[in-house]
Amino acid sequence: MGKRNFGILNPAIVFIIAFLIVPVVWVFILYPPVFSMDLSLKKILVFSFEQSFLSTILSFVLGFLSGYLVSKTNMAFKSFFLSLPTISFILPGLSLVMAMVVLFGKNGIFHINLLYSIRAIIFAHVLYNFPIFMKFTADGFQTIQSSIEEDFDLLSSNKLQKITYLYIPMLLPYIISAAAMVFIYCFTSFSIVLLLGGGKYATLEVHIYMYLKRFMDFNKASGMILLQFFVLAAFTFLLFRFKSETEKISGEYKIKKYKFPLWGYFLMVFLALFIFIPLFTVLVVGFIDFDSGKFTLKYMKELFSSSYNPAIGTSISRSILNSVIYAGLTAIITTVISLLSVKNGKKISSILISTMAITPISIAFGYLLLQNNFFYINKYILLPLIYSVLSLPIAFNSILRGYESISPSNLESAALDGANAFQTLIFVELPLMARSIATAMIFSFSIAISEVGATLLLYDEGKYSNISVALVRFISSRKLGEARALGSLLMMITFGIFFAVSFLQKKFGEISD
Amino acid sequence: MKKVYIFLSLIILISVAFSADLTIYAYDSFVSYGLSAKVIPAFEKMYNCTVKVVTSGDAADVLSKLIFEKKHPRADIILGIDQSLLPKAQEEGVLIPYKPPTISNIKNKDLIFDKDFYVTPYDYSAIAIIYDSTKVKNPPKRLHDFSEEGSIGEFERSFIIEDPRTSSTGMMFFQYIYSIYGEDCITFWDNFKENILTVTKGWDEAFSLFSQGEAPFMVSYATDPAYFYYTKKETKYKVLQLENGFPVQIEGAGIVKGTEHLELARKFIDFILTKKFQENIPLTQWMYPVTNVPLPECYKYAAKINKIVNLDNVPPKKMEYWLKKWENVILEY
Repeated sequence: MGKRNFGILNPAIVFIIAFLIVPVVWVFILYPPVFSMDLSLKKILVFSFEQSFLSTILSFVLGFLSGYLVSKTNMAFKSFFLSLPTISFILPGLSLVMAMVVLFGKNGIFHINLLYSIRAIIFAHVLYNFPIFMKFTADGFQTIQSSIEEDFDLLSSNKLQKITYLYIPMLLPYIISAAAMVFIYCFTSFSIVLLLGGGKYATLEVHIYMYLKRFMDFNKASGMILLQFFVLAAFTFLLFRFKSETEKISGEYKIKKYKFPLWGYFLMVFLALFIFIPLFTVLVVGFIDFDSGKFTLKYMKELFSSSYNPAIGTSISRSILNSVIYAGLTAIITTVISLLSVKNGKKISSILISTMAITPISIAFGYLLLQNNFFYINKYILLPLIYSVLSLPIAFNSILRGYESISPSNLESAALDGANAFQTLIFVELPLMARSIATAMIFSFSIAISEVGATLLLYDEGKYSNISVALVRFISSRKLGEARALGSLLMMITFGIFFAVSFLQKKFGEISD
Repeated sequence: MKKVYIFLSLIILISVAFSADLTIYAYDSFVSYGLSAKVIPAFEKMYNCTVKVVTSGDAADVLSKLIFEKKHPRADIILGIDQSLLPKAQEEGVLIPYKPPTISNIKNKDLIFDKDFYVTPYDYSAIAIIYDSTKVKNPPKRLHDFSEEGSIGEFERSFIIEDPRTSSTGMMFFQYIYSIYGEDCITFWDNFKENILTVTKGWDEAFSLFSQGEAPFMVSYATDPAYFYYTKKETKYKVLQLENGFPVQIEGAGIVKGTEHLELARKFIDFILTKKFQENIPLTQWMYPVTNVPLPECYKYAAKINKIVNLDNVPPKKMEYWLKKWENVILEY
């Protein structure tokens, strides 16, 4: 990687142009955008900004505090916490909503007045997104050398000053990266906003959907897609411009550890009540017979009982296998492209992250049009390509951080020992980046396994069904028991993945240290 | 680097051709509710052909897909075109007319909603408000009872409805309200909104919440009580018998303009009005068949709608305008 510099022909950029820009531009060519700003659209924009802002701030508070505990103390269940972002990406919105109804609904275990309000929207968004802040913050803390912190402790013992003048400035690039990502996720949230908000709120995505499906007015749909792109792209551009100005520190160092603080216990109780119990509920609802209230395996058995399940048009095993194939291919594609492109990382990081401003439904719309005008692409190729486009910014950021953490002295030593570029790559760079690569692959895998919007728009035959499609189709076929069972299964797979990740990270972490 | 570009180019070039004799575009539940598995093999055997069923969300998604592909159609048949989608299908010119000889099998000629035969009906049911009779002891008799002064406290946050912007069921209910109230429909929604617990993207999410007891009322279908009896022997869910009546949704099939398998496509349209197809509708689609085939016993629990509301007075081209008005009333910001 050290000698590769592709400039404008950077593989990541070429990939994004070929598989994201071309289909989306094709939409604008075939259906020139038409705008019509009116009162309801203004309401939608104001609400979207406000809820995204609030959700981002609250996710930051929880994520920052959790990131501190994970990174700066020897807390218990550290691996579990570090793997939480995987759940954020995998957990389907519908499964979370079902769990929230079981917990907080009319017949819920804790009947509190939470659902069907803006509070419920923000609650769900924070639950989903605080782990992203936690992960980024924890990574940021890894860059604060113990020597710097000790020097600071000598000069000032005031904790607030330390947070204000040391932690926040040092962590700023990480916080801003996480903020951009969380803001975009909240801004483009769809079902959760409609359903948990009691119908009183909507996002632009609802309008895109309306013009695409209800009125089939593709010019207006195209206008909404462009408007959404400008809003999000402007936002991400500003944030990343700020990021590049503040990003001065990289690398991993020996860091100072502290005693687990008292407030940490309160935070743990809060997280247990409002975050882990809903997640745990998703895990167990598949084993409860809601008619009798007793433990049951019948829904799980029904899931696997036949070789062909009409609800999904194939067997559940095939759907799971498809998910693994799509997600595995996605993880490979994004990792390879990121590794090939990492040399110009800082320059293209902003470009890549701004692609998050284009939502899955918009991309899928472009592919529908392209396929019709040119060629039909097999789903085993098309879906991993789209998932790769969606997950590349995150995978790339992870690998970039790993790449930047490689000390130049390591490369110089390799060169002095006579290693060529390939040997340096295999024996020096890749092992040092192993942890970042594992993280990148897991994020890509997670995004691919849980994507619903584009998949539902593009998949057309049961044999291509994956877990998310199966979940949606069980619900739409009134098979709620099977849907809950599949949600539980997905959570078990998620837990399995992140225990594996924790193990790998630990192993690779030791190598890279 | 060269290898990367070769790899990318290969991906672009790879394509797979459709190879079936007949390709049918259908909404998801045609497959997921089991009708496809019951009737398609019979058709294949009857005409010694292969049929490929391609599903895509709800009927509006399917029509969208067909319009995208207008210049290079891949489908021969489309299923699920109802009264609300027919004007768009006609405007876009994606169908060709065909009057099947089996049309005489249809028991009630009012069900033939397209007199030009671009679409042949195969099933129908009424959109209705269903309720949990253990929670609602005195169900209202008029739509107005939900929106007049004094009703708000009684039914506050007790309705789950589908979003007309994203759901076919929601759109039909929206058109129904328009057909009853005309341009005063916005006043209805303004008064009614306090009764809404939540608005869902689609019927499935609404049903999921309703089944979990989140609200006593839901906008759904008149055949739901039959479904609940058949699957759970449950009789507590009933259909509101409103003086206003309810609209009937009639689903039909059409032949895609540009089909290369016209003869087989015509045979399929004939087939949907045969006993083999029709007798499988009630327990899979949970809709009524359009011909005189015996209904399963559970259908005695399905509600009889005492008055059918005609949606002909709903101008399709003005729906966008009225939906915007609806948004302004419902959205809080």
